Amino acid sequence: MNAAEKGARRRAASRPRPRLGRSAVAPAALVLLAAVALLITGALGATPQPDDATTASGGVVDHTTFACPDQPAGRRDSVTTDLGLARSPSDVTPPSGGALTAGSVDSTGRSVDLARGSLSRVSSDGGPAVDATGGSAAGLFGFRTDEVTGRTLGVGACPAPRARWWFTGAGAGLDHSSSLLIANLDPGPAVLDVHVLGPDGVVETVATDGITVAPHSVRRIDLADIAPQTDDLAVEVSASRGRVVASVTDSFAAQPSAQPSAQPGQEWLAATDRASRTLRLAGLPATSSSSTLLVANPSDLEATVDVRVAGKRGTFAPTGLSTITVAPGAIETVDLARVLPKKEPVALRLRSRVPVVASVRVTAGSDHAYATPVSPLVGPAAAPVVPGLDTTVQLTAGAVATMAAVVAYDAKGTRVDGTTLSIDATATAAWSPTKGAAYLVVTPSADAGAGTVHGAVSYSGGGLAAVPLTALPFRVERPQVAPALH
Amino acid sequence: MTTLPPAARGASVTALLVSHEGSRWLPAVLGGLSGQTRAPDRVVAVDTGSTDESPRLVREALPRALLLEAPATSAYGAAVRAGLDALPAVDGPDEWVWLLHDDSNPAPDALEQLLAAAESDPSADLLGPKLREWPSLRRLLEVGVTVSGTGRRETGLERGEYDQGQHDRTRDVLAVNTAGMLVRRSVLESLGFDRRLPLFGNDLDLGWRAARAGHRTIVVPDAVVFHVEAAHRGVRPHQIGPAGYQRGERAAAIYTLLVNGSSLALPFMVVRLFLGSIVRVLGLLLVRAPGEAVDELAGLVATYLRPWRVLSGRRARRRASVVPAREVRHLLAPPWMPYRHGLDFLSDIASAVVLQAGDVTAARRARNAAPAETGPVSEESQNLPEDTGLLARLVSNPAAWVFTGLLVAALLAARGLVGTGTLFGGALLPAPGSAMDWWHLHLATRHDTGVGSTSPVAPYVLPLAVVGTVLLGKAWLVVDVLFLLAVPLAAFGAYRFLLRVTTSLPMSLWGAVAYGVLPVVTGAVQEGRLGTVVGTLVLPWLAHAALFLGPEHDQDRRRRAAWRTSLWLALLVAFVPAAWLIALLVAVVALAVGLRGRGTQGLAAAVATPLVATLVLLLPWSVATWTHQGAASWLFEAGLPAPRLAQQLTAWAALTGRPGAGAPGWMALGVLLAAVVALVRPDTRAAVLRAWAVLVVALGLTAVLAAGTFSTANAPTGQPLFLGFPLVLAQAAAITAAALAGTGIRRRLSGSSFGWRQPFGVLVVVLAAVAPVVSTLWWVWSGSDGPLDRGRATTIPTYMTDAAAADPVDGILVVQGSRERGFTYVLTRTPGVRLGDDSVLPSTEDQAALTHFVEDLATAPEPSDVAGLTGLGVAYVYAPRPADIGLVGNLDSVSGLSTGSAGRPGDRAWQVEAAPTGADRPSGSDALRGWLLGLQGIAVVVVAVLAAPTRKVGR
Repeated sequence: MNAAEKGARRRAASRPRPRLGRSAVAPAALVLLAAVALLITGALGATPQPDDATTASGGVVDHTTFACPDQPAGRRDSVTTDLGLARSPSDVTPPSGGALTAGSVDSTGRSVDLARGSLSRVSSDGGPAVDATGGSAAGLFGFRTDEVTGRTLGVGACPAPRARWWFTGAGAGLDHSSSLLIANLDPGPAVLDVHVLGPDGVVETVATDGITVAPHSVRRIDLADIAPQTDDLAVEVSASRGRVVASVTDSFAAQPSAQPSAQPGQEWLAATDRASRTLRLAGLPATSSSSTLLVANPSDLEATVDVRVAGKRGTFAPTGLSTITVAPGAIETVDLARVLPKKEPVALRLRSRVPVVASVRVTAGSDHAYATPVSPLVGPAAAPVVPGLDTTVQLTAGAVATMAAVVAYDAKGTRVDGTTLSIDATATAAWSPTKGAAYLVVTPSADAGAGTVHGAVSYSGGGLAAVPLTALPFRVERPQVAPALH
Repeated sequence: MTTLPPAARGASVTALLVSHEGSRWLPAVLGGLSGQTRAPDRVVAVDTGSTDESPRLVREALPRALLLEAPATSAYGAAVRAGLDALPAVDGPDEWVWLLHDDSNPAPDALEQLLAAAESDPSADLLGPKLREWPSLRRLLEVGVTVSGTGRRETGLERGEYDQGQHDRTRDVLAVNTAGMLVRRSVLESLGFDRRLPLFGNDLDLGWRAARAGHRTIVVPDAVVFHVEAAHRGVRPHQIGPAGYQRGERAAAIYTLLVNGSSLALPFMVVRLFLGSIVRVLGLLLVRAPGEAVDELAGLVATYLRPWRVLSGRRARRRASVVPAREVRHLLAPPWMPYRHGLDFLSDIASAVVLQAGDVTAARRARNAAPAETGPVSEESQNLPEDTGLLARLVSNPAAWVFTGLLVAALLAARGLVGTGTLFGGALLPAPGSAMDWWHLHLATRHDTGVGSTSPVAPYVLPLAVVGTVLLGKAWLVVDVLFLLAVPLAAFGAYRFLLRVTTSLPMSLWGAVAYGVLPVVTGAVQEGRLGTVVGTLVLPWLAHAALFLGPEHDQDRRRRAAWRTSLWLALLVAFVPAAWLIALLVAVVALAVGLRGRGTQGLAAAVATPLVATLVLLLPWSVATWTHQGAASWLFEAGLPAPRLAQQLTAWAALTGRPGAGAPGWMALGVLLAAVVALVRPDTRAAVLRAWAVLVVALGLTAVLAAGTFSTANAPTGQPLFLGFPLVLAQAAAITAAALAGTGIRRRLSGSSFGWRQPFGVLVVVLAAVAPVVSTLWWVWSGSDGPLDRGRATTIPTYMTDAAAADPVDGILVVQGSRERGFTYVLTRTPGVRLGDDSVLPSTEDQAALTHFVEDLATAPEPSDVAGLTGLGVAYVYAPRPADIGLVGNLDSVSGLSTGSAGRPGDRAWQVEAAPTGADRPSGSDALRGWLLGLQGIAVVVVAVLAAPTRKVGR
């Protein structure tokens, strides 16, 4: 039998086998393989990642620059300017080394030696402009205090340069006058526009558009020059080029009729950076003789503003105060004397359909102060303690009850007093340090689930002042930046 | 010496026959000579060392002729000289010599007619007969010759022209062939033949010199000589090797031109002949005739390397000439003649291609018709025209109806995507302004995009540039055609492929529609997936080319198929690099299966050729991308990764071929069911299994690739791949399997009863038949609903792009996003990132400095950041709406930037005040890229030549 015959036999023998024989192996195997591949695809398929990152990375601030208001002291004033370097929170490790200079805006500045945790007094001449790098940058703050002992007090923070400033409550009348101090710390010129809102709407000002502030210079603008004969004003400073440090010094005769010759009270009016639909005003001292709410509406629409008071036990709608209506471009004043509870630290919350700016002018004796918009604290905030006066920390919680640590230090950085304030939801709590403190630091709770807290420090008893609490420059949130493909 | 009886008074004629290995034709020639109505007075035969029986034949046929023996190395001129020397002295102007070759057979009255012409026109000194082809005897070879500016021998005749008396006019010509030439002996002796023209071109040279010496050459069409042109055709065993004919001819032509041309034109001619030869060499290489190209070059070199020969030849002619060169110019060919030949050459190639296509069609038709028409076909029916007209053929053709329908459907579905603006969106970037931008992108060794990069441009830019150039440089039209006509184009390719594998028109049309809708039902068109769309268009052509790799085809066919497959695979891989992996796997499977079977000879080479050639064809990219964008760039298809469009690939999506937001998956089930059931049919199982093997390979690779995330250097966030192409391939395999098994299914189902199987089979057929129809209806109904849209591609203000175009250092930094979601930026120096630009964007590492500056700008900008921007070549910062308010505030306030005007409301723009220097941009360019580009160019030409249809070389 040859090979061909063998093959024929084999084929012949295999023919009667059932049809699902060898011929079905290959198809079945292929179908099986395909099914396995599909199952693996379904089981192991990778999930796509969004290409836009949501996490911003935090970095330690390594450069801080700010300027204190540059105004020569009056005859009876005692003016002090203090720089402080707050202790860093546990999760921030400032770099070692670094340089700190302070000096007038138009000079390069002298080196200042400032140990972490301590406070240092510097000359108030010409600002000063402060520039810190490296280890001296994180946690650096500065305050200027203008005091006529027992009579008037003005405390102002030294702010960092930015492009937009809103001041609510300035004036350009006989009993109430304000000046705008604008410093340009940058090597390039700044070009800015000043807009003024008055009770009757936008004030037609002259030559306030395109004001050029030369590099490293200060410019003073008296509001009486650009919007005369108006007692209540809101002022917007917006730089179209460059950035500036703007301050408003405000003098207000609290009792004009009683003592015409009396010296008006002086105050540094704190600024906010933009109009907002929700405003929290903090820093109303517990003792005051009058308080006036000023709401300005820079938008083109009429604003209806709803006011809530955050008191000791929570937020409530004040009786006797209906919704405030503010015409477009106008500033509205509302007397809160009969509305606010007496002898109780309070804060206000304003809500409006259109963005507004606001402040509360409080008077006590011959001095006055402003409660200005504050933002929830995202880190430690510092404020000076003025010796001989009542310094009160007023903190208001957000929708959730929270805690905040308040610690008072002396000028060398030694802790002299401190507490952990528990604040009920939407309520306002207050605390005053003992004597001997030079500054205090408020640290909001960093616990998960802790609510927000915002507040201010007010000074009373022989002069009235308030400074809002703003987070110190420790950390900077760097947004995620990535090159794109298109 | 013997004298034949004189038949005419006055004139005395000596026939001079030179023979060399001419025994094939000599008997007829000698017969013709003996049968002359006016016999020559003398016959002198010169044999140049023939080894055959030529001398004996002459001696037998012309016993009275004078037979001389010359050495075998003698040139024609020397042989004639020897014959003349054997004659008695010249006895007057009326003594003529009639030159004959051993392959030229005179008609009986040839000499009589020549002499009659000489008598009637006594000033003629050289007379030539009309040469007709031997052995056809009807075709004209020459009626006088001249020479063109490129040295080509011009006869003024069409190739293979029949002699119908159309050229029968006695006229002055530059030269006549020596075969049958009647020349005054005195003239012949005084001019002689140039010793440097041993074989070719000596007649042209003789005629030219005669003209310059004041002699007249006329052609006498009444005299006919039949000529074999044995030397020209290379049919004569000769002392010059067979390869030498061509180069000898060419060298002779160049020499003739150079020695006889006017001295003023000599430098011009030297250059022109050189360049012309180079062009001819390239042209010959393009049509795969390397032998002819070498001959052409060798002929040129042989002449140019011995300039002293030309110089001495010119000296000799200058002494002999009495007529200025310009007076013989009218005898030369007109100057436009070479260009006409160039056109003829091109049209020859075109007709060869068309003929080949026609052959393929005819072969297919014959194959299809074979079962129906058996038996001999009558002569009349063969000669009848096949159909009445194009329109009638179209109307009666179902394929025409289907494709017309698809075209109309494509126009309907594109209703939302027409209008002004550019097509982009999803994974598709807008096309650049012109195809030249693509060329520039492809050829540049360094790209200004971003901070500058030397990344190799993605390989798909070259085919886009080529197609864009064909479409008159309109780059947008390329994208429009690809995306809006994707369905009919894909269907056409599939139809052609399926017609080949199934030979069934209905199944081919069904499969064509089922395949054609894949670009839209997979969502590839709607999501702007350029890679998948082009991959779907190319795949059927690749598969068609690969069909001929099999051992059942002849060697030439397989070789060409391998190169053609290489071209298609390279085109596919250019758009879908992962396809190379699939091809590799399919090749391995094919080899494994082939090794078990028979006929594996050459299979390994056939499947390896395309795989390797593809790497060379995509050269700068295929090698350089490893170091620039990373290995994963071999997996991403053309277009943006577009992670926002991506979704996790589920088993259902993979099964139904829906990697994107396409048609509902159930629409694919009919085809899939048919593909599975196709495995049951035994007689088509072998072919169906092959399709299934491809399907399994495609799904297997999908499973592997879907599991991972991949990133490139310029997009480092790991992303899953868009696996559109592997899934399209799986669908295509399923369609092919179903179409193969569906061939003749009606006859099969109706012809036999299977019990329960018959209704089941009918159900499957109905479901499968309905599936493409439903998909098409869905496509027309939903239109092009997806991220792909038409709109204005550029929002960057024109003054910025103008400045950037004028000086690339004036870059435009486009920042998008918000503080919350993160910012992205692009540094561009054009109106935006365009299709192809994305592949050369620098890596994120290279842009780290810029990223840092943008971070600073978004956080707390310092003047030093702006200074950093100038160093990287940024002149403008542009934030399209909605611009992040924090970023806007930062940029408004930072010193060193001034606000510029932005195009649209909500956009913001800034200008860097200091002039950008670009000094910090990384410098340097890829020196190797130029060489690799050159290599790629050569590879493309060589593979195209090798893949081209074989030219039928005719002489």
